[in-house]
Amino acid sequence: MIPVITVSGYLFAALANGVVITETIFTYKGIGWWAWQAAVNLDIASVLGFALFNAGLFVLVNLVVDILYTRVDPRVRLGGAIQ
Amino acid sequence: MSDWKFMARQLTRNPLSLMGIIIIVFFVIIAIFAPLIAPTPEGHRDAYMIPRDGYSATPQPPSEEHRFGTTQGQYDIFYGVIWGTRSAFHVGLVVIGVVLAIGILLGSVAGYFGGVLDEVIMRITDIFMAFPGLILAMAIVAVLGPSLRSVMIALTVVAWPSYARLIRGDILQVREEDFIEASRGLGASSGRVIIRHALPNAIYPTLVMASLDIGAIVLAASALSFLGLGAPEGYADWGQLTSFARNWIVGPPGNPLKYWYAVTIPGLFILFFVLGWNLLGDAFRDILDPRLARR
Repeated sequence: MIPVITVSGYLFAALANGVVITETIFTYKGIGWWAWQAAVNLDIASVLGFALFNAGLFVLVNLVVDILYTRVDPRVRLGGAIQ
Repeated sequence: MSDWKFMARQLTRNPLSLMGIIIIVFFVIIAIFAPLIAPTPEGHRDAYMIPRDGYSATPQPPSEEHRFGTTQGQYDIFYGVIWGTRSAFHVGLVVIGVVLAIGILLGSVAGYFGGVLDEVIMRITDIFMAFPGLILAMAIVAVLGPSLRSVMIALTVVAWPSYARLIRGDILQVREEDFIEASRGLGASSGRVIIRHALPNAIYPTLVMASLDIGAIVLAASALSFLGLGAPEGYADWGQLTSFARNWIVGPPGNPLKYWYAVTIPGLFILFFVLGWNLLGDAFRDILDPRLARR
């Protein structure tokens, strides 16, 4: 179960990549479409904001993944040394 | 059996890797003989710019004059995909070359010396790897201004951290070996130990990853071009051709496949190019796997 959770964390990042392409093709006006518009119009602040937002999201998802380990497997302990 | 003979036999024995070789050789031939396969029309200034036949937006079906038809803006698809092969090789090989150089340099230094240097380099790679690849590349291209050069720079920035990571891990493993200790005991300098003894024993996984990654890099470059963040309009580039076809994926009601050639043909070229490198990379991985018996 643990590898599955790890991979789904990475998949999340991969999907964040895909959102730009998908929303561009189908003109679905979400955050990916917005980022594409910003990139094409050289609105650099918005593109950097989008990139930073995604990086933050990725870090957050990885945190959730780490916490989920303890839920799935009681032997996993977060926070370093064994008391 | 010599290494080369062994490699050649392994490559041709597996039908899938043979397929990969055939595909890549096919593309190499297309790239080399592009001026013969799709001659540049007379009076056309830049061979890498696709000649256009008018300014009408509607794609035209394949005909005697345009073998694969024309895409939006009457750019000749046949000329575009043939010369686009050169762009694909250009982007893929240059990016992989630079990425390998940066990755090997930083990775081996971090792995061999360890300590503070290792910490600093690895935390930098951590920061780069926290950004989703394509989005970071998009941001970099937007900052540098859309061009093929910006695309290559962006893809290099996105790709190097994983190489530095991989080579660092392998160097960490190798540096504990006795022959490294022996060579250091004989008075070899750190540079000599890394280049002559550590790297040759640690580089194979990185080379396998590089051959697998060429396809992925061309795919990412196509994605950026598709988003309009690549080469200038009219430049022979597969991503650009799919971008022209974006409005023509679905034809008019009642005939949804009317403009199939506009999106399918550049798409197939990208598909087979990436497939070829993936098969070849898999074959290299199998060959360089030390568990594989050398019979």
